[in-house]
Amino acid sequence: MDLVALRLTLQLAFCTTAVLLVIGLPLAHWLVHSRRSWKWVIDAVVSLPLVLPPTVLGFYLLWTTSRRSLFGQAYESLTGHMLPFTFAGILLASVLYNLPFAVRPFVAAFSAVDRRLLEAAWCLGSSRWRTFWRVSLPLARPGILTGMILTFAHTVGEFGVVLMVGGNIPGVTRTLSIAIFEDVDSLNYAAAGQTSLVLLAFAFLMLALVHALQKRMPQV
Amino acid sequence: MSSWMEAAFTRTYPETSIHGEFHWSDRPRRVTALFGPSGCGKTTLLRCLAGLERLDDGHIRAFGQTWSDAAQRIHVAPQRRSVGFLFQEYMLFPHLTVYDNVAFGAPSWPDQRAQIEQLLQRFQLTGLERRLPRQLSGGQQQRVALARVLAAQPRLLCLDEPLSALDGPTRTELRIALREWLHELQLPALIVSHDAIEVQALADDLVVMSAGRIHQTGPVEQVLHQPVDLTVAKIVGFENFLPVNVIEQDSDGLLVEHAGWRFRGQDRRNSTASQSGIACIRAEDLRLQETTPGLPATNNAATATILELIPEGVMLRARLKLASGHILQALVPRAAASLKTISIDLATGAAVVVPS
Repeated sequence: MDLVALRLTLQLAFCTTAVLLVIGLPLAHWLVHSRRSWKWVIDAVVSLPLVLPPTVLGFYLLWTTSRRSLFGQAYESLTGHMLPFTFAGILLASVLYNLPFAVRPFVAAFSAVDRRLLEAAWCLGSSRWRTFWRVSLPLARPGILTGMILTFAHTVGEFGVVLMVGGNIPGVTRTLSIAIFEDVDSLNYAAAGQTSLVLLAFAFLMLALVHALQKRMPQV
Repeated sequence: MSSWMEAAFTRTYPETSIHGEFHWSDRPRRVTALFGPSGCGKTTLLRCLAGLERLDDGHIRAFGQTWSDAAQRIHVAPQRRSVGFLFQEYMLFPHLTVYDNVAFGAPSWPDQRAQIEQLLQRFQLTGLERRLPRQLSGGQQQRVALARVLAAQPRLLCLDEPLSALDGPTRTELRIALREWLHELQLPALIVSHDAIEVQALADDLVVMSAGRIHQTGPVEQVLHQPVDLTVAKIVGFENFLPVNVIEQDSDGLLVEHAGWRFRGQDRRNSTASQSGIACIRAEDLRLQETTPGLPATNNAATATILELIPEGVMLRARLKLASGHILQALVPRAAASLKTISIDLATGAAVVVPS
């Protein structure tokens, strides 16, 4: 098994999950509690990767981060290198592609918290920020963990968008899924089978974890 | 004393709108009950006062501050109103212990711990500090909720149907306890209720609501016994409504007549010019007497036939038919079951005549 690819895959999955936790929690909280009439647009954008072919997302990402685009030029002048075919590039692709896998469970978790509990906290003088930390977040925790596990597992198995944006550079952008693809392409079925088995066991473990978490939802 | 609460506002929903109007200028420590049928807007009024709903029109000023003003787009957040809101289902934080629930809104003063322990003791919660809400009985949950509200040191208490989530015996027990606590607290309080017994036990003043509007405000006994119109009479528990003609009116009230039956009633009509009205009579104020067959009833009694006798606690609820065809309900002792031909009489001052 390609241990370099394994290390890179885990690194990508950890980073994606961490970034989505930071972006996804406030976004989900906003989606649940905002009364803006246009919030459905944001909701639709977040859910887009569920129906969009990964290659389409990859294509647009390549297009917006290339030297020809303003964003690509700005990024290159700041960092000295381009975004495509780097770890940062596949991280960006992965974050965008996994947005619904994190945000949707987070939204479900926050929606399940009775609004009157938040109102009770406000009437006790608790600020919205403190209410978020002391009431919403602890009560939504199982759903948040589910979102994190799904994101992590989904990133580990990602293929299309990573290949489009990152290519197949060992140690930089070649993840386990891409390694399997290459092994099969070069008729190395034994290695492909070994890696596939590891990913299968991993996926099953993740689902078992999600199941265990859902059983532990707090009884209100 | 200057006005401690002055409010006139509207909250609009697609299918209904709720109007509230209060002006409390004196005796701020009184307990006021918002009374009316389910869905009449009582809870919405309370939520508007607590800042949990924004006003579509009007204003709320309390304790010398403007809390809400729709025209000026002022809406003071619930956090800054110091309104202790007791939710119908208590809304205890399910992941926090009894102690942490009570301490949640307590100001972080050096003696916070001592104050919370004092509250736990007062509400008989000592020994339950480390339990989670789901490990408590309904009565205990209510006491935790009340202790939690008081720990935050509110200026005004809003209790939304505080006893409705409890079963019979606990409800009676907690009603008595709540009455004592409210008396001790010396805080202005608003209680939402649709139970007349609860209102009589807990409140000093009554605000009767129906279909989003306030119909009558006043001291509890006055509102319960002197409704201003038919809607209020129905809400506060009058069960019999008879169309009457006014025969005589003097300083003591009215002498009215319904199909030959004459009785005295309190005058609650808007205009004394009208010669008609509706007499509202409570079931417990009608008295049944045996009459001798063949003899007419006296002037202040009416003959009636018993249609049905339904047991109700230690009493019987009698459905009676008057000669005019009107059906009345009377609460009578069990002994009345043996009566055959009856006449009906009224307790003095029991009939209230409202505009038709």
